[in-house]
Amino acid sequence: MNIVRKLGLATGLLALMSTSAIAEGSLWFGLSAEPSSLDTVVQPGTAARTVKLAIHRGLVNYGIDGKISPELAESYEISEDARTYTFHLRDAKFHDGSPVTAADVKATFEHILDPNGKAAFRNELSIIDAVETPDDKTVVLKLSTPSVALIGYLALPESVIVPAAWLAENKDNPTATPIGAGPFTFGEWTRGQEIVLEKFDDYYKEGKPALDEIHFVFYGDENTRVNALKSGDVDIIDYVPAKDAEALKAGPGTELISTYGPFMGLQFNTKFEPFSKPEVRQAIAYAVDRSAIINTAFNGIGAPIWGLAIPEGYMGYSEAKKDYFSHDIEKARELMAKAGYPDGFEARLLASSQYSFHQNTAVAVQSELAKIGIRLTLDLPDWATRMSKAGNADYDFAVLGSLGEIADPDWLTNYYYGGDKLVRTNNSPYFDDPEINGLLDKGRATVDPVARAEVYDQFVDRALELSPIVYFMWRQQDYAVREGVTGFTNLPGFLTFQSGYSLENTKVED
Amino acid sequence: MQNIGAFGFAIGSRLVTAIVQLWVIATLVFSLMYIMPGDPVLMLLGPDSNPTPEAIAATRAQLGLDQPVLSQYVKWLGGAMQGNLGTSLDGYPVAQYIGNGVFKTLELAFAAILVASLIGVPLGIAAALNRGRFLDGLLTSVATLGISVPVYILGSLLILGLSLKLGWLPASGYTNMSRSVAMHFEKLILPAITLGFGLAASIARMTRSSMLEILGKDFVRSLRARGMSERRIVWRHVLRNAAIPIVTIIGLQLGNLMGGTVLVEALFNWPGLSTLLVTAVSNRNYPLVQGAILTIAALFILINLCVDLFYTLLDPRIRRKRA
Repeated sequence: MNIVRKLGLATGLLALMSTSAIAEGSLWFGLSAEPSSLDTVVQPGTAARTVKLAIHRGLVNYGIDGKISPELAESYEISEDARTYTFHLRDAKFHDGSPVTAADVKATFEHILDPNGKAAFRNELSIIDAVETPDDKTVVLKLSTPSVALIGYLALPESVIVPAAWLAENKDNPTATPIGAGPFTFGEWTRGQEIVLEKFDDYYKEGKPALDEIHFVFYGDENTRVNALKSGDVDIIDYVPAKDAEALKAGPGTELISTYGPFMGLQFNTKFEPFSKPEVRQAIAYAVDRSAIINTAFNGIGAPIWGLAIPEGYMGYSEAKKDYFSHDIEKARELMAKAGYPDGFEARLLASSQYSFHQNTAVAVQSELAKIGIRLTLDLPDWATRMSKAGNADYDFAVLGSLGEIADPDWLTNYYYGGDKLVRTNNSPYFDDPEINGLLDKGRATVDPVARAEVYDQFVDRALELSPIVYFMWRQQDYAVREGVTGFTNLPGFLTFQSGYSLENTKVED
Repeated sequence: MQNIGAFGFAIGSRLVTAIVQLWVIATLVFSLMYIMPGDPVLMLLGPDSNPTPEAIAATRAQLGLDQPVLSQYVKWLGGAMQGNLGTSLDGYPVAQYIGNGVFKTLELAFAAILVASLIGVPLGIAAALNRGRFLDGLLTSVATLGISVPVYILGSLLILGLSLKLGWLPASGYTNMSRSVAMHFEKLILPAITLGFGLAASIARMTRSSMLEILGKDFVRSLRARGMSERRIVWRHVLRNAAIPIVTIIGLQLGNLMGGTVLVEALFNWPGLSTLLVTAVSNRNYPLVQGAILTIAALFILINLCVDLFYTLLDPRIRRKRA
């Protein structure tokens, strides 16, 4: 009895001591992964982006409304011919106290465009022909081909500006302490455990950030991450599992911050005979009951897609074509017969067992396609293997779970463009249609919004006709916060994975 | 003198065996990682971002992954022999990762063993002294239950009850002592109990059977015949003689825990070696996987060696037999 009482007392004391130990203005962020790198120019995933957007700012970034927000550039102009971008820098400081100048911007872009460098978006940014710096506060980008989409790529977390002096010293040093001009300075990275950031007092936005420090704690296991939020070990988590979304939404004590962002679908290896035929791909689009996917893999949460995965409000979205397909087994069978496969065929579907929703999507597709005679073998390796198989086009077709990188319609290029690299992570391998390539090139270069919208309307028609990618549904992408955390915004649509931007507005109340 | 020499020889031969074991493990792990599909460079650069072939090639060269596997192996092994575990693919020394993780795993393992011993030994004694009676049956059933319940279930139940419902203890994580000593230990309690519970059961069973064996010996009967009090017999003579198997099983369990904390570390987000290892495997971070497994294996062998030596010291008969 005595021991029990003593233990109880000790626990009580511990509890008392611990409450006082938590600093005010600290946010504990349960991240779904430890970033494999904080190198600004690479894109190893959402966890890295969230941290990067707390440390860094670009010339522009995507703001909480999903629009381009001027950041280190106070303002910018795009020339009539979409070949010249002029940026006017504001008075901002890097974390080392040095001012943000045109020379830093120039050095940053030279680093990104280095042909031997690791920049994830070098290809998209490589239309920058020259970076001119007429004075300390002005940067002029000259493009080799006209593009109105470039501003979107400049807003990405991989295009943030770092000091020229820092680059000169640390360009090839992956362990250098990051220096940026964003709301938080890099504090400490305890490998395998957490990254700590501290408030940057000289941030260029008056009164921001509100937080004194952020602890990014790595919670790889989704159940543990949810429990950590429920028990108050952390204040906010990313990647809320679909099965926990309803409970966290209902509370008490927790709140869900949702958006429809990523989509699920199928990408086809067009070298695999049956999938080289548009009729077969369309047949699949007709055969799969979207609700089977949503119920099997996402606990009933999600919105079906019966056309292209273009979010409402984005250029190319069309009310008329959004329900191009329907669940129609008869029509699917007709198309299969027309393509020469009245009795179906056998195929391998690649997904990954590492993420249950990928695996369960594959399982649902397997049973749906059995109805039109397509007999599937599922290939469900871990994620790293899945990705390397995708990189080698080592599959017949694959479950695709992804999103557009930017809010500009040029995001479609990554998914549909042929060109000289026909096997990419997110395209349908070896798919190369001159008409689609031409429309994407034209869309990128068309300045007038009305004319541009027309180009993408044509694109949508062609893309539906050929259906190199078949879409199933919008995935709900959630963050969850505990009561008392305000100001964190889940950026809308495709931008959800750039929500780290809003940490500058985030507040914690006890 | 002769005794000490023999003892030294015993240690020496054990050490040589240990080094050979480590080498075999290291080589196996090295080969396995290269047989496994998946590209570490792709994971590092972010597969979603479609890295250019140039970027992939440059990174591969920078990491030395473009070298023939055999020369990578020789280079790595050479480093490992000098205590240099190499560089993790993200640029940090592997030793830094291991250093961050190893003490956390050791701390958790020792805490679990402490919990297990504090529960298991007294229960085992009580069961032995009440052999065949109700208490014995009860304790034996509880022990069987303890061994059978998967740590994942027990841990989830503890989190659900003590943490989410009652709010007494944090559900997960790790707090550095420098930040808050109290919080540090609060976060240790649940994982230690989860890990220790099953061990307590097997310690209790071992204690019980070991005690019973000694209680049945002739010398105990003689002591009883001489009129020594039961309490004195149990505490002074039986327990001491029963101690060796108990110490052995505790030691073995401690060794097993070096690699056996995977589920508990994952469940409580305890940033130890296992968590590190699991993440490293899924990112194909070869040097980190090799370093972590080598460390776990070394700890396992070291602890077993210590246990061996410990009961050599504890029991003069074993010492003499070796000599």
